[in-house]
Amino acid sequence: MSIWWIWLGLFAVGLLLALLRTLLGPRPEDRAVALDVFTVMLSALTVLFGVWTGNSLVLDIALVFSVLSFLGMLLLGRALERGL
Amino acid sequence: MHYAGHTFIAIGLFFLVVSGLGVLRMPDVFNRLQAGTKASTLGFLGILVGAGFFRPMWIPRLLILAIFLLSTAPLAAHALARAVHSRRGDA
Repeated sequence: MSIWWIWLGLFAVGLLLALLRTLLGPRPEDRAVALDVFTVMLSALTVLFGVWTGNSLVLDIALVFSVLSFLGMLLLGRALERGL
Repeated sequence: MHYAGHTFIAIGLFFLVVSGLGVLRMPDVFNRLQAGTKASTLGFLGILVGAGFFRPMWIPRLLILAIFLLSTAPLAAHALARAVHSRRGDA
């Protein structure tokens, strides 16, 4: 039982809070904002997992996921503003 | 070295949990956007600094990640805020 499990538990708490707002946000904008926070948290979790296991390929996965989530958020904002 | 890394990871995780709490508990869409985006950016930077303390060989790639996040998170937040504002103006 190391301290990394405590960090994973705190990550689970944060991801659960953002996911709850994503699931029960009353309007589509609430869901989009919560999803943005959720993807940033998931990228940070990927970096932390890479540090834990010592595998440096995980950093590339985090970078590609961050790029894709940024493009997805731009597209989501544009789609909310004036439709696809 | 490990104590400093764990300290920075704890600071980043605190800000990430606070951003999740703000997204869940704030009353309005703009409040949620402000709380969530700022705190999640700061938390991600804390996690990156902690990772740099743990693995000093990874610092260039961590720096690329930090620069990318610092330059794109405000853009995504701005796009979402403009979409929210335009939809709010219709209603």
